[in-house]
Amino acid sequence: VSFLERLDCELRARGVRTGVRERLLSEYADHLACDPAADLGDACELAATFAAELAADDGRHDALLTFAALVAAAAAVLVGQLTLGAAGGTSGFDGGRSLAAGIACVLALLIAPQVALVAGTLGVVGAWRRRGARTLPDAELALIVRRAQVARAAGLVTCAALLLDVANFSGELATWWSLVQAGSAAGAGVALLLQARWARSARSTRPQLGGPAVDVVDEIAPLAWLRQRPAVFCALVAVLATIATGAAEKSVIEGVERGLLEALLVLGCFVGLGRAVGLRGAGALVTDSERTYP
Amino acid sequence: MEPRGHLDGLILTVLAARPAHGYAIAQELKQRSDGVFDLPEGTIYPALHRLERAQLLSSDWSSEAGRRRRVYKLTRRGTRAAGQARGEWRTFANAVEAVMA
Repeated sequence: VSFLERLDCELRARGVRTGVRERLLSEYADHLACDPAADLGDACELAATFAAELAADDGRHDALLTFAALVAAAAAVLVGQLTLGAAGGTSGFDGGRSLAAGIACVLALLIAPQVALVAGTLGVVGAWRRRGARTLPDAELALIVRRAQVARAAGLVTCAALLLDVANFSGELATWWSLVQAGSAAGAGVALLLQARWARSARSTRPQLGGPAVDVVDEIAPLAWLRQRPAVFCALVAVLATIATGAAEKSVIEGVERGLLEALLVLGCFVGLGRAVGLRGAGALVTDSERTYP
Repeated sequence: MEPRGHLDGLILTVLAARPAHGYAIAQELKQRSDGVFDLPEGTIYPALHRLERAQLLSSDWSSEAGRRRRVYKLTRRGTRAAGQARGEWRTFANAVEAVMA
């Protein structure tokens, strides 16, 4: 078996995508054509190094691009909310063509943007803090990728809810508002879908590196403490939401209602998605001396 | 001697002189070090790809004697990084020299 055949086999085994693999192989082939006796090293070791570095770069890239696409989705939400008054406003979630669609939109727009914000921010912060590392352990890479997946899914739900909202209130609101809202939501949705497509091909690379998933949540002591105490976390969110809503609406009752609702939603998301985004479960504070950065 | 920890800086420095393909970079490293660097030449390619993903290098296919080869050159960011790598190395080498002399 020649060096090139062995390298091709090792790169395939590690899931390096076709275009990248073929380019690398043609470079090695050119090198051997210049000097057939060249010492290129061990094919297995070269493929392992290449796959590990590629996967780390792809994971960080995924988190950053997902966050950028989420900014577009956040802009779509903000533009819609800030211009709603000028477009005539709505009579409430039950004033559209369909009550079921109205309720679905309210729930989706209450939950999905918050999930996208938390998962996307954790993903991008996790990727940024390891920007200098050539390789990342599988567990840490998987956490970054999972956060990006959850954030993208929540971003897509947000965009879909915005589009459904436009359709539901199309007769009640100004046409320019519907066009702006639908256009911005569709644009953000397409950006998220394109990023999801790229991420799917990039995810094929398997670096096969051991080691712990050192996470940003573990490094911030209050977050590490709250990770083990979801009830305390939800109570804190409820208090903060009560104060914020009460101050904004100048109503204690509205504040308490919103605070309780937020606490319930956060608890639900904590139970449903906490493990996926690394906020629940086996997180432990890893000190600098215990940490092993490859 | 394996210059693994300094490979990126060495590649950037070689490419600061002119664009080159992987084999030419390997030969240049060997010649400039008088054969002291005993690095498996294959390790250059993962490093070149990594530096390109970091936008320190850009590359294009070129054709020479009927063979396709990838030619690498420094980007503006890569030129800055090459200068920085040389500066850091000089500081380090001067410090070691001062201690060892």
